[in-house]
Amino acid sequence: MSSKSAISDQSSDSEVLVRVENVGKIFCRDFKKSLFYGLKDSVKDLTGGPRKASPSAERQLRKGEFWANKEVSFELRRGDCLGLIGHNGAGKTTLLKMLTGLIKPDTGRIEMHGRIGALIALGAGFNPILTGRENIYINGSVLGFSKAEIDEKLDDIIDFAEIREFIDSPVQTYSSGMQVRLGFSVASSLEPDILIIDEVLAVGDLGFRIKCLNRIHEMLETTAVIFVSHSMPFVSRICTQAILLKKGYMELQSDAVPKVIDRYHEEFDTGERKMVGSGEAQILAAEIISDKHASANPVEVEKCEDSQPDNIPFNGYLKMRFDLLVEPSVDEFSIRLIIWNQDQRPVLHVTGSDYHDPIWKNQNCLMSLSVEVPNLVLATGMHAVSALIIEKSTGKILTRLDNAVRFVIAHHVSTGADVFMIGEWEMTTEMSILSGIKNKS
Amino acid sequence: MSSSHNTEELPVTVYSPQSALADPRRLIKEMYQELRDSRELAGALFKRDMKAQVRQSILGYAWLFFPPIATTLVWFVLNSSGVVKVADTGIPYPAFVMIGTLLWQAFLESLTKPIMSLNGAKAMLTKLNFPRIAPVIAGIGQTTLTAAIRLVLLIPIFVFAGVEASWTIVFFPFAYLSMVLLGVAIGSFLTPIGLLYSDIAKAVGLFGQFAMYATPVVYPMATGGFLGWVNKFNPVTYLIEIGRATLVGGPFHHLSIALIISGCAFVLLLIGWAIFHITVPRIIERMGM
Repeated sequence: MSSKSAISDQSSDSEVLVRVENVGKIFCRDFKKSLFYGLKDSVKDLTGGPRKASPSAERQLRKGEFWANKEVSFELRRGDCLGLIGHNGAGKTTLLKMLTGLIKPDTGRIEMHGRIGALIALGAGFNPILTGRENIYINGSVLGFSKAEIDEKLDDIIDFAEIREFIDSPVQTYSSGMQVRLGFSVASSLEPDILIIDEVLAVGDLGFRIKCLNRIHEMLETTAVIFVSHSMPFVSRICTQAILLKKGYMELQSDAVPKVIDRYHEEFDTGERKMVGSGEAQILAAEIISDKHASANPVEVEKCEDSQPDNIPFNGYLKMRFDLLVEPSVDEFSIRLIIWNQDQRPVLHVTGSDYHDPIWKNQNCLMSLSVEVPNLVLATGMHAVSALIIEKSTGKILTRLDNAVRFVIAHHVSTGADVFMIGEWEMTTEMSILSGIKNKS
Repeated sequence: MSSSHNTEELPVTVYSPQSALADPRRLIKEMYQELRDSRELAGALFKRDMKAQVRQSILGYAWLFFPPIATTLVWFVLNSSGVVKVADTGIPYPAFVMIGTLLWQAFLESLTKPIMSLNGAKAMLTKLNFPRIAPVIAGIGQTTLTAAIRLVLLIPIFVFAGVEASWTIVFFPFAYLSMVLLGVAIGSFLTPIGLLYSDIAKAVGLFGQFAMYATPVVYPMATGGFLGWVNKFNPVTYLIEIGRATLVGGPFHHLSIALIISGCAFVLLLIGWAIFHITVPRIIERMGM
């Protein structure tokens, strides 16, 4: 049963570095039961003899057990970067642990070609008492590299991590950011064939994350990367394919990464309407009144629950109306309108004609403010509007209404960007300069 | 030295729910390979643990000598003051106790070390995939070195008690190592279940305290009564008797039994190792995320 002879397939197959087939994992919620099942399973391993992993005989769940991963299948070739996204508890880290061989799958099969560099948890394998340098050797040794190989790479590792002054201090003095720098540096510097990164990267500062991004880009020529993250901008930047995990299952798997990201967003509600403030101003109603919705009823803020978000076409026209009541003590107020996208980024700020928030004089009765925004170039997806009423003289926020209205930009184009526009393109040619690879000897 | 990235030449690892026992030949190959792979890590862990012992300590390695010295002193005082009457031991009592204690502690520490090493490495075990045998090897190395260092105590005690060492002392290292072998062999069986239930480690700790009295460590082998019966069926008895015998050229009538026990211990160790290899990955899953 030699493993090497098995891989003599066609050229496309010979490039595959990771092959996951119908993999599943069962965990037990109850700790004591879990230990007992562990005992039983061990005994079964020792006495049960050859057990065929037959997919037809579906494994029954014992009391307290649940599927942490089920029917997960994918393939990765050199140069692929897989983004694993999903809500907390969807089974992403469990899948990573199976890929690194930390835990065994309960169904299915995993095939990993080559050496694996993994950064799955912070500080794992770091002994706090020992120095960074000593830990590099131990960590490298744990990942399967010999002392000679580590000696060669030592300077690269320390330089990438940018902690040279602290490399001989005990790791227990490191901050979590420094630990993740060191961990990523070790995992990626030793030229693995497969690189597995868990969400720990979020702990590093922006500069470090950009470095990691660049390093992963470089490594993609020779490596397959699996990347778990909650940062969608990051995922859309480097991943060539994505899998959305939901409760252990693959909800969506695609090369069109923005599509998977959009589905991830759909899982989460933007939130209910929330009004906070000193009470000196109240927003009594907020609604969208574009041409297409002329007959829409004004939705009263207090009563509103899950109203259906309006659909607005790309590059379309948005008109909103707000009914306000402001205390007489306030002389003048301004209104700030911010449009948020699903990444919780404030993508659009609607100002007055002088580029500031428009200022109004308090009329001391019910006021109805309406605003038109032509040519909304926001990208596909759900958006929410926040309205703030601010007292002009003091700058105090009188009231803030989040999720005042919601709308969906309905467009077929998926993009990772927050806004997109159609640009005007033109090409001119210069026939005297020909393209081609020039050899410089 | 850049690693080859040619896919055809890459080592392939396959993970599946199949029990490792399904293919015994591969199992043995895997076990041997794991042992080789763990060399560097075990070495690093060994050095780390030896250094950690003395890092925040003033007395440092001197602490290694205190347990055997303490036991010897206590029993010497108990015996010489007549509080406890021990039968004639053939050689001066302090030397008798010291030798017995060294041998016994080598055994007991080897018994408990595998489980303790793995429990100590719990944080790493649940987060990284590495040769699981490495902490155990490092631990065994540590106890062996500790036991060897303690042998230094034999010199002053022999001089002080006026005991003459016999030529058979060349066999003493083997006898000493057989204590370690038996300890590790038994310990390896306890380790998988000990990882699941803390009862095991506690029971072993308790057992260690009493078992010393069931073995002729501080008294010569009992011949009659309940204790005689216990001594007779206690495998450690024979190893200790022979161990002592090699030092002083003393009675060797238990030699054949001791050799058989050592042989059995070796076989037991191999079986325990296989069990460890098969079950520990499963158990680690349960130990915590």
